[in-house]
Amino acid sequence: MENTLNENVLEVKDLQTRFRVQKRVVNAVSGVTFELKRGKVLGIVGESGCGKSVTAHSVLQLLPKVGHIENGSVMYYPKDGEPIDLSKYGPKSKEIRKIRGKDISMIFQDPMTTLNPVYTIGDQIVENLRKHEKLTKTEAKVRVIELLKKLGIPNPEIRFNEYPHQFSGGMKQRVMIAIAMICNPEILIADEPTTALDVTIQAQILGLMRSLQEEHGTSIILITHNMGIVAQMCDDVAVMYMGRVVEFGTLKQIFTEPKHPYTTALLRSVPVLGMDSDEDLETIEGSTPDASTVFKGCEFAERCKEARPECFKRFPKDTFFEDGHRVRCILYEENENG
Amino acid sequence: MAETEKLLVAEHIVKRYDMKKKLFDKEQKTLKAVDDVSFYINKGETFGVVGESGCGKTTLGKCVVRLHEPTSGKLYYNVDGEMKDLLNLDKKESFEMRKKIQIVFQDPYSSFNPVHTIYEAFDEPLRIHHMGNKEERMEIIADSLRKVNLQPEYMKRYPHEFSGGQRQRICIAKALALKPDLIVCDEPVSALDVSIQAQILNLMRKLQRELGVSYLFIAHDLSVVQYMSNRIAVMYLGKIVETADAKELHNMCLHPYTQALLSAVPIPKYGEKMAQMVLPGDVPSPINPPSGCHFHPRCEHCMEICKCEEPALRTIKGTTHQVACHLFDDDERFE
Amino acid sequence: MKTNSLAKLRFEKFMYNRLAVAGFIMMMLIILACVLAPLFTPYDPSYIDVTIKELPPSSEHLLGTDRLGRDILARLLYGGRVSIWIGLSSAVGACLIGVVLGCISGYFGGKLDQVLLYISEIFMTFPRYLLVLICVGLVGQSMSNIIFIFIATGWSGTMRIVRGKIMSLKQESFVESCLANGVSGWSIMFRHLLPNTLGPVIVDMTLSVAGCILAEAGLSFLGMGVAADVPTWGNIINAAKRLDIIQNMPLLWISPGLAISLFVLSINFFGDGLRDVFDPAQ
Repeated sequence: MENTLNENVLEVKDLQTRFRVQKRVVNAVSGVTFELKRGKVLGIVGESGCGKSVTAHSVLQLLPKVGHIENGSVMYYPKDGEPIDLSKYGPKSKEIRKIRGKDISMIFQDPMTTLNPVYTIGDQIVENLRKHEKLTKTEAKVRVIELLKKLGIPNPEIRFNEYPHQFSGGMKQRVMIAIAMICNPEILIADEPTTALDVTIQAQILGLMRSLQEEHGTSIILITHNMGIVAQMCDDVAVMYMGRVVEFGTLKQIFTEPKHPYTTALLRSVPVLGMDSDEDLETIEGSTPDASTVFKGCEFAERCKEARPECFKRFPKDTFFEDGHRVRCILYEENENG
Repeated sequence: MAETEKLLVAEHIVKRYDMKKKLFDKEQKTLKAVDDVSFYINKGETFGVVGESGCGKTTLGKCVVRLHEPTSGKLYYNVDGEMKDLLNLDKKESFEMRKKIQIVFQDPYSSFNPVHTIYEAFDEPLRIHHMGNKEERMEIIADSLRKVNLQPEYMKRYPHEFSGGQRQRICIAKALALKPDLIVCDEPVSALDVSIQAQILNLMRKLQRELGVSYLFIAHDLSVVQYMSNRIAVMYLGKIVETADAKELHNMCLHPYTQALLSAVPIPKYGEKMAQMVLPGDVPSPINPPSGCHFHPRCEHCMEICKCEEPALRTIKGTTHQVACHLFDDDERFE
Repeated sequence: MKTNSLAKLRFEKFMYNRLAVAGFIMMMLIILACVLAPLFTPYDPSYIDVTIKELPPSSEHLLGTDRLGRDILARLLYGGRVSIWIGLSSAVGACLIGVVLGCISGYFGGKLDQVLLYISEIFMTFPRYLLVLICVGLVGQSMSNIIFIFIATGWSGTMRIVRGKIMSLKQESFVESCLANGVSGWSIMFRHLLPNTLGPVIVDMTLSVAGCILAEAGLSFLGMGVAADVPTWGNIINAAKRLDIIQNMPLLWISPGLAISLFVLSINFFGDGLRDVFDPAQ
């Protein structure tokens, strides 16, 4: 029994990420807290501009020049070794470069542009492997081909020497997964990995990620806007709105007893197959506010159907329920007090 | 019966593109984007077309609004009870017909000219189609903006002042301004956020109830198409493989591709895991589609006949449900 | 909100770039000084008075006089008029031709596009200076000749910019929407597409103004530009290229040289600022 091993592999606490655009300051992420359990899949859902992507990029310090982590900590608990606070290292430091691609790796949304068109697929995977492990070229090649085979790429020996333009979208995303998984990372961050793909290909990729995760025990952060993918893939869910986590809980808690009005509305606003098309969809009125808006109260208040005058005046606090389920909404604070 | 009057009938539409012949190519390569597609749309209903990228659904939509000229085929349109052949009209009539069929595009950002105000964008088509004088046109614009729940004052603004959802409403308003009978919606919500998506879908349904317009609803998201449509056609590599009522398609779809497509949609409900029917391989290139049934290399029920003979689209007796698959060659339910 | 707020947004963005604003101010100052030359100097730039030749700077002659007793400041300001006029008119002329041909070429495409591209390539391959030298040899020196040649050799760059921009804009949904409504091709081309290309065209134009002024100065310096009796910045330097003048009367060549450098530099800063404003990637 390894009791010393922390249950969580990644703990993000009160993370704040800021962007400075000309003279304006934009809080892309303002105080995000979540935990990623070892060997589990955490889904981060939200609409565009809610900061889900920036959160993920902040973990690895992969922010554009104008962005920086203002506050908070990103604790990474490796299987063997001391915990590391990733937010304390500079974006170009040796420490973080050692972790990127080896312990924590990332898959991006658009497989068409993330592969370099002038190198062969094999070279690009081998590069990542040999950066982190001392292997000869032939040893590396053997391992890469083995992985490609596992990822369901036909004729991996031939495909190894081919260029990205010879691959279809789904195959490219498989290659991206290969680059990310070649060093057996403990954490895989997948930023909208299937958004650019067709449904049947999406099903292939999701199935693949599931089986890899089960086999290697990788912990995954899955960023998506699709509630369906969350329901199919995740163990825990963080719902984000305007740079904050508004609700955090297990898949069951979020889908069967959602507390936050935003989560509820989000779940009811998507058409579900076989749904009775006589009924209207539930909508969230208005549109997402501009990222630089300054709020005095709850960010969601002006679109919320259950908003009270108080919601506009002060920030809500997190309210905790059983089993780590927590909600950032004033409605539940009162329940607790009363 | 007035309700089931047909508005648009498309017969054997083919759209072929000849690829540039390269130096050592022996044969001329052609891309059949739309390959012998027939369907009809009733007045006041929504006809959904669903399929993956490259299946020709967008090309089909553009053929209907005549942005593309079909290589062959017939397109009949109901003008006061008389079916007119859209592809054989004189210039003046053809121009007149353009206002009857409008299109809403996928990308609300590129749908507007950034240097023109909303008013200018609306006014031009109204002006060239002689829809009243300046004041009357202004009233039409204000009215159509009101219909999509936007303030008429917005017409003085520029497109960049609006969010994606608002722009898509403006697109719909712009299409409505010309009082069309049919609006072709080419992936109208796929570029929008989920919460905005619901607003647009509800709005489109409301407008249909109030104005009786028909939609040709093209999308890749099966759950959206199924929610919006009365009847659905599933396309694969330029061909319709199955047509059915929306409900029927969900409950008893017959074509293996439709079944795979349905099972690939992730369901946003706890405990309902996806059926494990993952299609192998990729969608082949439409330039050199597989012989016989285009779907046979990915089909788990593939038979010898599938590899050499193209299945015909056959109708189930007494219904409008059509399937193109050799599995049902001897099935007695079919006509 | 009623005004063109896209323009307002761009104006704000431009004002944020200090170097560009400084360039713009400097450029306007020089242009104003040249246009309003009679207000700054009472002298005629071509009036010869040998009794006051080679005067050092004084309160009467701010920059002194040259070997023929002409006021240097007056020559500089009036010379600037000609130089700037040549630069502006050739850049504007070249742009107009480039925009129209680029529009047609980009919108219609096909064979027409090919032919226009070939023609523009032919013009690009001619060395500018050689062409000017030949023309000057054939028809003699004159300002209109120089402008004509600058226009003839300068439009192909603009045409390529406009052509490329139109070709990418053609793919946008708003163009398809126009087509679906039966809007005519000419209307799409000039009412919808052309205004969208103006940003890069204006940038290109400002930068080519600078280029033309430099080219004019170079030609005049070689004695092949505008006739020697017309003061231009290039001609003034040309007249000062004798060794004793270079050694003894530095103001005679430093001042026009500085004027050219300052003007070209400020136009370039201004143009770069404009480019940043119109570039959507920024």
